[in-house]
Amino acid sequence: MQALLDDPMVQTALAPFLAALLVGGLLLRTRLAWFAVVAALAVAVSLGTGISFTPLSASRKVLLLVLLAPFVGAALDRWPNPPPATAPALAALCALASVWVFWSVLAQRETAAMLAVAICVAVFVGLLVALTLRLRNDGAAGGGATLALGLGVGIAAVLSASIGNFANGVAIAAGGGALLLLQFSLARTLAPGYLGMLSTGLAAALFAAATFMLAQLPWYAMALLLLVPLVAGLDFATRRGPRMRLVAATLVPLAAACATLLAAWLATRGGPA
Amino acid sequence: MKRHFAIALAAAFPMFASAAPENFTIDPFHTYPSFAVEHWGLSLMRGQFNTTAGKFSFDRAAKTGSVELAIATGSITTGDGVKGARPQSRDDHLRSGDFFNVAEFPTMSFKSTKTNFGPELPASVEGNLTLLGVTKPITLTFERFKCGQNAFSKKDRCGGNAVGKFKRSDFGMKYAIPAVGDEITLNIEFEGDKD
Repeated sequence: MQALLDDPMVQTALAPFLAALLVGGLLLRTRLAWFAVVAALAVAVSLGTGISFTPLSASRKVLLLVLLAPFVGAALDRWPNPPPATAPALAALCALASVWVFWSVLAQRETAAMLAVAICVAVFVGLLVALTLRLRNDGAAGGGATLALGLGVGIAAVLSASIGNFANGVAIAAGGGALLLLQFSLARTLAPGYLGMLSTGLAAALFAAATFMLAQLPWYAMALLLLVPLVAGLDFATRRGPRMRLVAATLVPLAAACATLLAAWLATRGGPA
Repeated sequence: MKRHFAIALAAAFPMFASAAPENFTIDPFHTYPSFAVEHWGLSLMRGQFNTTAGKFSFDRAAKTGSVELAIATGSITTGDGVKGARPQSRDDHLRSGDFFNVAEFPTMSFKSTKTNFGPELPASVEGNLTLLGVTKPITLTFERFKCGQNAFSKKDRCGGNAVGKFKRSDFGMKYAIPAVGDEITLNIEFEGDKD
């Protein structure tokens, strides 16, 4: 059994997928089914390196925020009439939080470089969260974006010397894949709400930013991830029934994620740094 | 009277004159911390850090001493620094957040708390290793510790090899255990000139 749990494929993809399927299935009749994404991630991290918060390094701050995000989202989903500024305010908070997350790395740079990198990371995190939150009422787009963001972050990370964030990205994708499968088998969509999209958006943004800050993901490859939620929100195949909609909502963001992968791969071939 | 007293004191305690601590500054060109770790339970892979600074001192009469080392984690090399056709090299991966997290923790350090003496020179040193922001006690045993004179500068010079073991998971470096072993053997070859 231990040998099975030590298998990287089990740790990274299979166990997170099964956990997401279980959590999503159990919570199907509630508005909490999108806890599946963070469940997948928690399983991957537990099996891979274990969950720990001391000392509170940048990677552990990322994990802390990612594990807290669905609870904040679930609380917001219970708010009967949240003001229109809720999503932009959340995105702005996430942007500020990213500076706190990476402060220990930023503080070691010269002031000008520190400011440039801090602004770059904060704008990226804020935009990705804002664009992802726009999908909160669309289970198909949310599922497709989660799958594509997870794979985009994960595969770009492995090209950028970060296997840890590869595992994190694939776990997000496993969560998104499980939710897509559940929706496909039910032939209906499950609105992600703030719970689902804050979890996905913040996790993908912070794991990508961590690969940029702590490994070798180029900034432009990170920025291209913004295309994923952008195209996932486009109105396509809406009149073809839920299953066709789910298929289209999966394939289009995946194609967008390829832009990040191509940029990350070109960087390993000596592209612009 | 005072003079007679001083002579009597020196005669009574012949080591008194040499009891001053001797201070040495690490020679960065002859000081290389290296490590060995199991890979897939098969080979013992080795790597080293190319940049180290620090100092050590000891007092032969009082049998005390101290060591302080600062090792630049970014200077790690395992003989695989050129990625070739692969996306990244092993050294790139070791510098990333999965292992040494060089961007956030550019230095690991060792600071002694106690020096255990052999007949004349230090035999081992106990101290705290700080890696990835975590500080844990380890003991470094001197496999050799010798002192002599630098042939060129004529300065007194000491050097040797110190060996210690620790578990990387104790420092939060848990990635890829057990494929990449948990137990690390640290071997520090060092030399230093007397200040």
